Amino acid sequence: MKVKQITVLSGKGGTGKTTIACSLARILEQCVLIDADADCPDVAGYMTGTKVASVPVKGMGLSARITDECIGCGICIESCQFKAIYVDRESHKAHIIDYLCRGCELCSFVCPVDAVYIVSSPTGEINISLTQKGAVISPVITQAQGSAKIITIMKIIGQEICFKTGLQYIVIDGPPGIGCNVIAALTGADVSLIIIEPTVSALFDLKRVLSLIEHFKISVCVCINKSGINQPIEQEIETFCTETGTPIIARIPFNEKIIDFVDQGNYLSDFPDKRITTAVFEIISRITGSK
Amino acid sequence: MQIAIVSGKGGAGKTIICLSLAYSLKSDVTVLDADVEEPDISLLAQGTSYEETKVEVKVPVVDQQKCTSCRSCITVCKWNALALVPNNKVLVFEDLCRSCTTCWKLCPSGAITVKEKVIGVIRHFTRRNVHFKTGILKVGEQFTAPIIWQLKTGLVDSIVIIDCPPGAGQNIYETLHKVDFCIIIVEPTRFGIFDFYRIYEVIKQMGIPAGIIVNKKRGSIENLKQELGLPVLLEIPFQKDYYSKLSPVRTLVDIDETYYKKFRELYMSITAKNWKNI
Repeated sequence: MKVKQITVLSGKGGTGKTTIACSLARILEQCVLIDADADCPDVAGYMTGTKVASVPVKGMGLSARITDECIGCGICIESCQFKAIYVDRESHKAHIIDYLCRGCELCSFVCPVDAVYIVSSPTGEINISLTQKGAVISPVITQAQGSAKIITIMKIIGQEICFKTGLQYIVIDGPPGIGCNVIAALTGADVSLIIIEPTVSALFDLKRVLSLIEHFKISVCVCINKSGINQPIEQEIETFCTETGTPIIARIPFNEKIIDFVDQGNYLSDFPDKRITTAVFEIISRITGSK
Repeated sequence: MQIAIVSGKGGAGKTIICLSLAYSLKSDVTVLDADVEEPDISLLAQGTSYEETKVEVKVPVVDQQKCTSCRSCITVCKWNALALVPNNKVLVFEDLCRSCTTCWKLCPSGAITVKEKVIGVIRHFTRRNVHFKTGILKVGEQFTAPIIWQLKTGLVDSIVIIDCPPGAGQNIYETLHKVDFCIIIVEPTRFGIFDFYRIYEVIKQMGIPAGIIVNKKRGSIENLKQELGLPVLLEIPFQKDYYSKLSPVRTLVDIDETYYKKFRELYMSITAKNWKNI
């Protein structure tokens, strides 16, 4: 049976992606959960399991180094498109700003005295842990360069686990925004679930994330989280979704007690308020039933 | 003085706090919206006039007549943005290109030139005492850094406040480069604290002084303050009705006048002291 990939996105940060994605993974059971918010991963600290493997990811990014041979001619500085090199006023030698260098190696090609060499920069590792009835794949990043590639590798590992064990679902907890990490998290998804909160900014961000998903022709549905905090905006979201033909599949009512409940390591699906658990199960039935 | 508002976790309150701080000051201020993927401050420009400048990057163009299919461009490209296809043509995948220009500079037969490609825009407009510059990434584009660089050039006001993107990714490094002080917004929740440590590591690596604003405070946070180990500059309590009251159009200083004083004092406390890098 084909593995179904569900990517959870939001555009705006802090709308509830991680909380909801983890609850979905817990209910689905036959599921691999991937933390694709590679730069700020929270899943591993929330959904704990038994760590079974740790895969080091090296050389995802490269970085330039300059030797003492440097004559301070500045040719590399002119060539660098990432503004990652400057000449030190005291030593009159070029210096690399490590966190800006993208490892294109152009400086090493243009240097007239061969004073530049390239090292592979450490990027991090991928951890795989087993929960009661599924698996969690999460990244540990030491340098941001290459985080989109790490997301892609985690997805390959997830597919592999599904093929070998017969798990049927991959749930991806995506990053905020619409940039390259979001695109990496979205590629190959069967359905994208957008978590939105009824605020002005979240609606604005929803529009941008929807037009990105449209590029990929992936089926999309919306869940309104923190429902009830702002009725006029919620109405505006409903109207917008109706007009654009975007289905709203669930509304999770706002309840301040959820904050502490989640902080204590619990899942939404166990929350002692039926309206909330019903909404979470509604998401499950809609995304597992839809194509 | 460049102050960056960061948080790691999304939805912690960066944008509202950035705007509240800017409006509370009496002098002219520049606010940069560096969250170019989801530039919520550009909401303020809707329905009014604004100036717009394009952000362009260089992408390669291959002259198939001059190309000898030597593959040197394909070998040097770290982003796999060039590929040799049957009948010996070199294809360019513009979306993958990071505009490093290495292929152009190194092509032995001079078959590669570059053209400008628009990846986004910057909107300029003024509200109250604030000159806004908001960077907006074109949907579908992936390369945010040139928009952030362009945002940070040609600044005229002596006070610059930057609304940063969430996370601790590559775009954060470009945004925080040469910033004088970071205000870290911490939401006192499990995820908020996880993400605080991620952004803390980044700021430490870059060597920038920093302080904290605890937002959406519920109950006592004395233990947390001990744990975070950075000065807490301001505490903003959680209030459910803030979700409906606050927006980029209506900030903390608009709904509660006492915040004018609080933010002004916060700014004074940042400028009054010689902070050490964390």
